[in-house]
Amino acid sequence: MEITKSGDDKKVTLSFKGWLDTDTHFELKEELDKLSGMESLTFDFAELEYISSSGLREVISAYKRSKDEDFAFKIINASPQVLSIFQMTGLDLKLNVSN
Amino acid sequence: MNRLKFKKNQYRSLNKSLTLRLCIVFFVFLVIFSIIACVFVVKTTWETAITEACDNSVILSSYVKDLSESKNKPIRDAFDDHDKNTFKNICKEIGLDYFYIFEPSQDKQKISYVILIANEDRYGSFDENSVDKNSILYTLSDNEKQLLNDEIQYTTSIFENRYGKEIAFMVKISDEFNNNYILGLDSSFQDALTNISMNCLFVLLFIVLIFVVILFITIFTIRKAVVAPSKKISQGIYDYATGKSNRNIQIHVKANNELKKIADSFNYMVKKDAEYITEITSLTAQKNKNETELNIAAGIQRSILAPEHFVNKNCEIYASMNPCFEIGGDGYDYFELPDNKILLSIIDVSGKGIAGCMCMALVSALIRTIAKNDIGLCDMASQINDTICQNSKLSFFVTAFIGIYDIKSHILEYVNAGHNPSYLVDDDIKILNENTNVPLGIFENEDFKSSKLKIDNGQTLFMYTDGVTEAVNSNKKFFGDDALRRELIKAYRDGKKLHEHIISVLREFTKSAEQSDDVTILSFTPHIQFDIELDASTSQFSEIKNVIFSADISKDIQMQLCTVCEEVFTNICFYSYNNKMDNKKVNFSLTVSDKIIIKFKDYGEEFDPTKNIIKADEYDIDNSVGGLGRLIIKEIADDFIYERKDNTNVLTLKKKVR
Repeated sequence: MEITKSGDDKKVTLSFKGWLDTDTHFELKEELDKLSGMESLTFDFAELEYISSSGLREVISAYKRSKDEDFAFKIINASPQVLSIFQMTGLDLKLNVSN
Repeated sequence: MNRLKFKKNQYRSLNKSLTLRLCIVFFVFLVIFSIIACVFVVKTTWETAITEACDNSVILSSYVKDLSESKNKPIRDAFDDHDKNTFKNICKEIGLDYFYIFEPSQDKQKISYVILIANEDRYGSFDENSVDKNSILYTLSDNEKQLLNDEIQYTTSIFENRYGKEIAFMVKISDEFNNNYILGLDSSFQDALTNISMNCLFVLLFIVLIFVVILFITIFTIRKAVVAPSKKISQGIYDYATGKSNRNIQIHVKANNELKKIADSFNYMVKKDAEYITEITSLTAQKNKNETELNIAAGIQRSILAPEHFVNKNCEIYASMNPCFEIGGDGYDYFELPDNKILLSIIDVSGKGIAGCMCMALVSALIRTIAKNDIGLCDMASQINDTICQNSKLSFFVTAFIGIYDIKSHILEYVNAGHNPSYLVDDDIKILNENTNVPLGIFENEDFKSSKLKIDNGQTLFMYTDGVTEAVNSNKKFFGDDALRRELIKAYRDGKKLHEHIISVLREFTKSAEQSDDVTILSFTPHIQFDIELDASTSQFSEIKNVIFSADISKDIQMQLCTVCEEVFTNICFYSYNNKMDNKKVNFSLTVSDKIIIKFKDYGEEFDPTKNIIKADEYDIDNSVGGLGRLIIKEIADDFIYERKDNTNVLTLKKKVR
């Protein structure tokens, strides 16, 4: 999986490419640990092919952090495949997910 | 077998019962005879006594009359002392006790003694003069009046005097002076009674003697003629039946009647039995030998047939052949050919039993041999046909359905040689009835046409012999094509279930009826199956991923399966094995047919992931981060089943693809 960071320090966008699964979710965790003091965080799932529950857990921790640290969090460009996983768990409504 | 046993005293002896009955009958007859005889004796003795009295009265009357005439005096005055002595002697001679003469008075109301003469031997010196002739008057009795009036010839009466009971016999006599008298003769009643008793006693003794003699003769005769031979026959048959005697027992009876007939019949039966036993013994030995041979033959036939279940990564096959007798003329076979092909065949030889089995073995071998030549299905059928025609002096033929399935292209090429059409079973049923040829082994040099059909993963090719559709129940009804199609539709989802369903439906249908033909079925279901074994480490998941993405299924489904498998595999790694065990292996299999079946097997601690799965709307994002994975599995898979088998955790996931 590749994670590309774009935007400035305040408004961060992370673009994902490939698979966010058991093998790769640590990469997201490490990337998130590097970030601090932003006003908004956007996950761009345009090129994310696959997400498993391990990946979901990292997305959920990012969401929780947005609540604790009070910054805006959203997910954009989710493919139907990835979106369906959010829909199955009802997370699409609680997290700000759009396709 | 229960032995023949009789309880003690269960049967009465013929001897005793016959003797008893005879004695009773004889006794009854004896009593009746005795009564009749006694009556007769009493009557005869009485009549003799009366006759004797009559005779005596005639004699006395004539003496008295003679006396009266000779003296020319009436009877009343005729007797002097000399005469009385004379009459006393007469009395003695004719054995009277005493006799007397009465004379009636003028008015015929009373009578008085004229004379009374007694027998001195009995009464000693009886003084006749003590009887006053004119003073003792008796009133005339009715009998005496009738006697005087000539209404009766004589009268008898029994009376008692000082000497005991006496019998009196009276007649009328008259003298020349026209005087009428009554002459009475008395004799002892006791004597008469003794006389009668003695007579009766003699008669009775005689009768009893006669009866006893007859009884003994009868009993002796019956014993000799009936009881003894019956006993002999009964003992002989009992000994034979219970095995106490040898098998060559003969009963000898001296009579020449029905009993002799029974004995002779029994002797004949014993002789015949011995012959039958010898025959049965040899037949049984022969039968056992034949059965052993047949069992060996049945074993050989089973070994000719391919196994009843076969599964590899490309297909699954269930087959069975249930012969009508020990062995049958049906056969099925399947084997792999080069270039990812598999040959399927089902044959039905004309004839059942041993002949059918031998022909079936020959044809099975032919198919296997000729299939190796790789000459195409039609030519193969022709060669089989010609070989049977050329080599078979016997006129047998074979119907067959032979197909070659190409695993890569999913195309089945088949030749139907006069066989029942096979079925392609799916949501619907397709009959494979194109280009039916003549059966094999009838016409030499015959060309055979083949047909082609695509069979997708999960569809089932169902082949059978006519023993299925022509199975007969106890009401003589055929199972039929419609019923077969109906039952196939019911159970098409699973090759194993389909096979078992058809077998059990047929068994239920023919329940009490005898099987009429060999029953053979074969179901072939192509699928793709992958099996791998890996270590329980999350880094190994890529192996599973590779399998899923190499399967011939759509990308969407692959993704979903991947999500599901990742969750299950992660759970096994973390929960079942719990990092405590050394040999941590997981077996993974993926089968693609009309549905996708995924199985995970691990050897870890018992862990059931299907329990307590939360629902999407129960998930609390702010407080919980676990349980999402199993929620996703539940959403994606159609079936999610956990089993604990032989200390292993087995998880089965099923997903429909069509």
